[in-house]
Amino acid sequence: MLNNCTRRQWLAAAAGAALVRPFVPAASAEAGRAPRVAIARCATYGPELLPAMQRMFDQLGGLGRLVNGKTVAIKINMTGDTNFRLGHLPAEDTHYTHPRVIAAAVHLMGRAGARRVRLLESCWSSSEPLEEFMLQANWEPRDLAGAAALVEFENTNYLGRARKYARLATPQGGHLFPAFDLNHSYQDCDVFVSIAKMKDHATAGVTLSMKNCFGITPVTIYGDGAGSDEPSIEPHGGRGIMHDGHRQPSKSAPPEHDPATPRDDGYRVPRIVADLVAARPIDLAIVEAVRSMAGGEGPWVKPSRAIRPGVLVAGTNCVATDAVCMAVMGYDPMAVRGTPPFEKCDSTLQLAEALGVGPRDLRRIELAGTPLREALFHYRV
Amino acid sequence: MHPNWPLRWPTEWRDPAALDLLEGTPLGCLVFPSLDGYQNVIARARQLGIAICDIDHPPPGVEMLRGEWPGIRMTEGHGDATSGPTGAPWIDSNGWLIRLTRARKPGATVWVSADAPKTSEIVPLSRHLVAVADGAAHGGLWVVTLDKDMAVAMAARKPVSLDGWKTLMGAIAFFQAHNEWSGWPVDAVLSVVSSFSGDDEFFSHELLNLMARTNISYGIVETAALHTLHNDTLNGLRAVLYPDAQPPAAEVRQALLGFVKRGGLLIAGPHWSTIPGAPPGRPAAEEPHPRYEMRRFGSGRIAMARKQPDDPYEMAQDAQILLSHRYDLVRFFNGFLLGAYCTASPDGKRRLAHIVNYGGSSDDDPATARIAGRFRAAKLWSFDRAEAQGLRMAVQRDGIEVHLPGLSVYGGVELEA
Repeated sequence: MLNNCTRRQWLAAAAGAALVRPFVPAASAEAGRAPRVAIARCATYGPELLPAMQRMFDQLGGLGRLVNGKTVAIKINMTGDTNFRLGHLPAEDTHYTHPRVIAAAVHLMGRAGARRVRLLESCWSSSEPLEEFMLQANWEPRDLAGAAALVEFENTNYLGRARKYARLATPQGGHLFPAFDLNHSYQDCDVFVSIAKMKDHATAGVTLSMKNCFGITPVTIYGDGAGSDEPSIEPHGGRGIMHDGHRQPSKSAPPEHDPATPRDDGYRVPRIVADLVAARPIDLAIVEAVRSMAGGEGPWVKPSRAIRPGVLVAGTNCVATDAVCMAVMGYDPMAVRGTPPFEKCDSTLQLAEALGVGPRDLRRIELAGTPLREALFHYRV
Repeated sequence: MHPNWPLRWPTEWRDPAALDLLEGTPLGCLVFPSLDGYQNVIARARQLGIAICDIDHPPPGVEMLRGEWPGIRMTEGHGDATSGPTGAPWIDSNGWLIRLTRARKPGATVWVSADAPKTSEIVPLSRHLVAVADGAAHGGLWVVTLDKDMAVAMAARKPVSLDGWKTLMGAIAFFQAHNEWSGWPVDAVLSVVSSFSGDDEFFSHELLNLMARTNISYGIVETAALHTLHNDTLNGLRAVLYPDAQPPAAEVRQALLGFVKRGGLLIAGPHWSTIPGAPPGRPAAEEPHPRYEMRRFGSGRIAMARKQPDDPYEMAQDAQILLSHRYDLVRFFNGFLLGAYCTASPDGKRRLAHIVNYGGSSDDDPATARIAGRFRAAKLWSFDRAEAQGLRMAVQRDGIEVHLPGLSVYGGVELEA
């Protein structure tokens, strides 16, 4: 049973809790009342998808209050090179957020009065337009562009269309980084949405709405090919320096607080993700697992397998949303390092909670829609 | 394709009895580093009706190219492959050079050779097979060149090496049996138009080499030939890339502008604008490109580089984006080491995508190919089967997907329109 911890787990949780600062609700968090998270069963990406998403948003209080008249930035998840597939399955059936989920969200936002919707992703090792990246994944960007009145695309892995990077500070100083220099799109928006795939993650245990934001960092500054003093012009390679800390980001960006902290990716990545979602708060988290994969975040993680949980989760607090997702996946959202799925890493949820981003305890989260037990899909067999 | 498939005579084979190894094989011409010192072998070969030449004097009608061993370039002393500018493993191929030569010398038979691998190198059989497939897929003949270990083992008639030899000869026989494929024209969406010589030689050659690593299916047109070719040379293309630093001659410029006027995309350097009266067209109101100024002309567009490109890889990448991946003819999934060369039958009823696995062994992750177009049937040709095997097609919008069964070296996907 979920949350039915053994004494050993409880002790581990208590020990882990001592490592991080306690949860202090931030002004941006829904202080004073439990954040609501909606769950919906959805077996296919067919006609049932749009009403399922509409129902979830209604259960959250309606999209209109969030997006009406606003510029909405949506970080989608197209992790890795488009070349990768799990077997012959299209990436959107395993490790990419499905374009129909994105299109449905865009459409509903347009219908709710969003002035502009901007789709964002940091295309793997490239400055090519996001639309081109999508085409390589066999997606049709025109379908997304036509889902609402004004839809834009931006590859955020580099400077992009702006003259300079936007600096977003981490409230309370952050675990590792006091601030991040990001593509302008993460600042030039009124509403920030993370649409993620519900997956296991080899480094961070799980990847949900928060971990999706690891990819908002431009590799021109935070990647292995980043310039030493200034950001590189072109993005090349991955985010190895974020994982292992073998060097600092470009000097133009704020360095981490303490380069003497562990260079272990299980320590670093969850903290960086927590810092990122504190610096760039997520206003709406949507996590989809109509189809997904278990065992890792992409086909390059082995062994992994394709799954069909048939579920969608959404909420206005990313920690709470991810906590519910963990429960859906059959994990304990209160889990700490050393317990599944965080055997080799710290809990991003715990670390984000410590920064005041939101709660992970299901008792402090209001659930709506499909009962949790009906959405449960064990990622680990 | 020349009927006599060439073998570089191994220096380790001094005994004419080694000629027995050629019996029943498709090999028909022996290539010697020089004819001195091999008189016994040569005399015996002539008795057997096997053609002879030295490497610097190929038979009439044959263009001998100095190429390289195709495949993944391995770091010396290390177990891992080196990376190219893509960050992906660097792939060597002679395809672009064979195609350039065939474009410049229509009707010629193209042989491509490379020195025997260093004695310290371990050369798996797959490397020989990849060399044969890479050459033949692009319409050339790889001069079979044995590594020392294989040559010595074969001379000693060691069973393992003889089995490998048999496999290699089977691959050559396969391509000989499909000789007509070498005459199928490229199925291109873009053509590179260049002098390919003089000051432009290095850049244009590197561009061809690196464009082969993108997904652009490209043709090759020499500027000298453009105005003498048929008016429809550029018809059916979506784009033309003119990489030369020098402005084109008036008639070439006219041909290219005609192409743009009819709706094509021209990608060119800034010296295009140094022509009196240039730049043609009006600025385009589309998304700006960091390195190219976009102009409208007639029904088409001109993408003019703001400064003369000096990085052929960057230009190849830019060309792909300026053209758009929308027009990729072949796209692979789980195919990091796969390369494709797309051709069409002269009657236009069939397409053939030559797929070479430069890794030389099938991966654990099965590959998928997405091929643009509408087709009635698909089948896969491979070395080890006399007949093609049917492929199940997953029909998509504007294309199909086929699942490629464990492709270790070569697969020819034939599509029926």
